[in-house]
Amino acid sequence: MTTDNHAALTTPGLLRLLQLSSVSLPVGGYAFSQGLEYAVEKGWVSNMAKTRDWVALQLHETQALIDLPVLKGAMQAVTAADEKGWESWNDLILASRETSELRLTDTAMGEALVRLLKQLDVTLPRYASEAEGDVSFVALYAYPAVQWQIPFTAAATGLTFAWLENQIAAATKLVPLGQTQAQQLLSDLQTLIPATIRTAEDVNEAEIGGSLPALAIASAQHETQYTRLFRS
Amino acid sequence: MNHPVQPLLSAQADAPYWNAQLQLTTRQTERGTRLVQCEHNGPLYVQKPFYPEGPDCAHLYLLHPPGGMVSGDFLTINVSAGENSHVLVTTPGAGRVYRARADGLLQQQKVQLTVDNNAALEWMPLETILFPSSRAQLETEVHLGENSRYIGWDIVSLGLPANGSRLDDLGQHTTLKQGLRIYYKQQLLLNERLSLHPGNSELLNAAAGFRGMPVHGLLVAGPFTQGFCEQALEKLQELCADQLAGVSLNGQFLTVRYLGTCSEQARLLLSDAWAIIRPQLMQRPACAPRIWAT
Repeated sequence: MTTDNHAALTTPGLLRLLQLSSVSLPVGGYAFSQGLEYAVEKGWVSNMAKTRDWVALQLHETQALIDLPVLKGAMQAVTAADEKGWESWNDLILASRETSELRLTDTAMGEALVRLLKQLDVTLPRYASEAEGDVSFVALYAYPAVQWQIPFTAAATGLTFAWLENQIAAATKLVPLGQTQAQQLLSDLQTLIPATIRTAEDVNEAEIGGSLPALAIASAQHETQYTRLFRS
Repeated sequence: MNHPVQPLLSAQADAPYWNAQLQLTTRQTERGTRLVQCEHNGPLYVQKPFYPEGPDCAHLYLLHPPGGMVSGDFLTINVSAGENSHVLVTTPGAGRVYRARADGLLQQQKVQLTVDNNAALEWMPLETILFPSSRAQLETEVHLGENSRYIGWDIVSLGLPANGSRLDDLGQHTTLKQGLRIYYKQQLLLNERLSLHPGNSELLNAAAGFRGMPVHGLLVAGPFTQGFCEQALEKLQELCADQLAGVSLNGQFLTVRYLGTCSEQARLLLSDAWAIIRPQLMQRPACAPRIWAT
């Protein structure tokens, strides 16, 4: 079942992956800081090294233990044309978002991706095309990935890189960091992505879930933060 | 039906462990909520229901005389609230997960809570204390029927902060797998996990992780199918404002999360939150179980 996870990425597949991972994909990921804005206000994240730790831990705990195992399961369901199976991955990832902000990040981007994919002739599950409930961006990403023949490892790389770029863009505004520092962080943190994906491939459905209580508290407190650049 | 208590022996004769099960079922009758099934096997039981707020809400105290779990122990607790009944479950003392033996067998607790249509269940045990080098797996599953309501919390203390057991030492050998899944009419609505093991011990001091705080508390309440009262939410936010705590209405569930150094403080915060949430969700004022005051 994991045999095609590492299948070769064709050039057309690579081009589609670049399109999906681009910051110009109109899904609004830049609008969310995912707890970072509160963490900066409280002085928890105040420089480049602390930004690195803050983001790296999310790669280990959230991307590796929630987002990517769900992407993998969702891609398998899409490959098997199992819409009900896909819906349970969508349920699981939304159930795993610890706060309203973290859930909204996923569903607002998911809603935007539904609108976009309809215009790009990607076949969507009925649940998403008929707007039967909230759609996770991460779960939905499985549809274009499968249809455009992007294997799991490549799709996971693109998804995680796009997430990483959003976090660093948020840190650049908030901490703040210089453009060169941002590129240095991106260079450093992207080296963690392959191990993040390897971890994700071995996570059982029953073990999915993150363990970042202070990030969850920061995200909850962000809802009432007095001045905000980012959505909550 | 009660069975005599018998320890089950593991492969090593000198290392006995307990498998204990408890099955509780309530039913709403003309005389209020009655405990109609109370079966146990092993040292885990309930003596009798208490009714401090009248016949329509039974308070149950879970008793576990060993006071904690050793390697190989497996506690199974099933509580089923029948249609229209209302049950509150708590414990008279902290639960302990002791240092694991050399055999390294897991110390497991599995809680299954079933809340039938129009029923209400409150799950509010005192804290669980993880001793250094324990290996705990604590899983809770909640199944909610139509118009049913649930409030539950879990407070975990990593080590014994008062006795100076340090988090760093704890991180070396202790493992914790704690999970909560809530299903509403078979659909998974909430999935929460804490997973600590020597491989991720940097979490204990990380800014986004535990920030060096040994006590984690999480209260979950819902489902709020019609949203949640704005003023009550503001009160909860005020409650959390001066602490390392946060409240969020996430989908249909309200969560209140605490990080800190003291399980007593965690329980005070969560029970203050409960006093605000309970009237909204269950149309009843808070009525603290008497055992908490002793």
